Amino acid sequence: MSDSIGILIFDSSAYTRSLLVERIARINGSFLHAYQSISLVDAKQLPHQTSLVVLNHHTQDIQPFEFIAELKTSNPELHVMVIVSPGNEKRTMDPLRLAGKIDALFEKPIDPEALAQHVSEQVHHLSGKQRMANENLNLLRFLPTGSLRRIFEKPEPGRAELFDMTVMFTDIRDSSRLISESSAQTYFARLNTVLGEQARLIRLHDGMVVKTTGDGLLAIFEGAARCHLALKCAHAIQHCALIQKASVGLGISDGLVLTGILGTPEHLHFDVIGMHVHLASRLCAMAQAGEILATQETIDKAHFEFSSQPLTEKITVRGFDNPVSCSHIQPNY
Amino acid sequence: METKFTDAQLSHIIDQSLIYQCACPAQVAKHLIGLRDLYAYQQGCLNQTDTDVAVHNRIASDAARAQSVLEECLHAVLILEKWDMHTLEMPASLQKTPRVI
Repeated sequence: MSDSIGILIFDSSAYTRSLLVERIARINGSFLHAYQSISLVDAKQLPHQTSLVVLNHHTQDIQPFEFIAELKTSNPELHVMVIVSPGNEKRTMDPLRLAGKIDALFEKPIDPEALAQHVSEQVHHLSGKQRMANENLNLLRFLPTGSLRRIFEKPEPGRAELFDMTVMFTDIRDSSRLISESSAQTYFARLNTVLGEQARLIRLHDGMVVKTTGDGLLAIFEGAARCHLALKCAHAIQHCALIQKASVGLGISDGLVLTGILGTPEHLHFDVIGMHVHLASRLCAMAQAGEILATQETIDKAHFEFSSQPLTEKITVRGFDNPVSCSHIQPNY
Repeated sequence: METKFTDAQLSHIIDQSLIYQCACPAQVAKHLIGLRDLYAYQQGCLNQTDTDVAVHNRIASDAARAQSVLEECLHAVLILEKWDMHTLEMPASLQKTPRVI
């Protein structure tokens, strides 16, 4: 378990604070900050990674009601434990407990083992939640966000659906020369940097990376604004490539694409196939370094404001019977 | 009910103990608070029959007696343990290996 659960202890008495710290510091997977007073911390801006607060309230302390209420209002996931004397002191805290602002209310004198066990359970629980949230976030990076998501609801091999989408291929030019001029490790690191940035930009423009293709990526965009977003993303990728001193060509096509899960139950992967995937791949191969080559249909649907007028022509594409109307886009930055 | 220690003083004694191991006066103080709760609770009970009145009177008088006995006990224990009787502060010698944080 990583040390990632932050615990704040508030106790105005140095002695009892030291007892609490001594007990709680033994719990694995957590780190502590101890404060003499609640006035030393802004309930709205707790230290990074704070997940648990232990407040030992003393009779002569300033009333902590507003502070406790603000803790949960500003940090709903926070676990708040309050230790208090029995009788009136405890009764004054009951409304906060009933309102869900206090998660656990301990009556003094406390059983230190029970306290340590409660904190330990919470640390374990919160670590698990944090780990699940991280895993979920990581998984989401591989999943589409729109209607495509339903493919993943029943990820059965061979299941496929037709979607209207914009397909984009990217490819780093001159990679053979780069490989020969540098070590494999250096080239791989550079490739990872360039493709990593491309993937980030694709995600930023609501697209999804389907797979890497050696020196490039295959990405798809869906939804009403897909053509516009794909072109905008392509411009961003070329701008980024310019900064990275990388030569990149891009091909884009829009239309019906078959999407589905391929493989066996032991190994599955999402893929897209169809005429427009082939076409975008061919256009990418034909694009010059720094160029975006897109079908005219994509350009017409995109309503995109180009920095320089695209050059339109009919191109003969291998595997297609008729020439395809395309636009060469050379972004100006 | 007459009391020797106020509620705030009892809470202050309990506050300083925190955990069971060093909490003899706190345990007594806790039961005193419990007795006060019992007394207050029965004061709010309805008297619908003569028996009710007798029951509540009995609880009130016995709670008061118990209160008096335990308060005397607390007072004696605090003196035995050399607490500061003005501030009701626990003597440093009773604290368990404190660390300054």
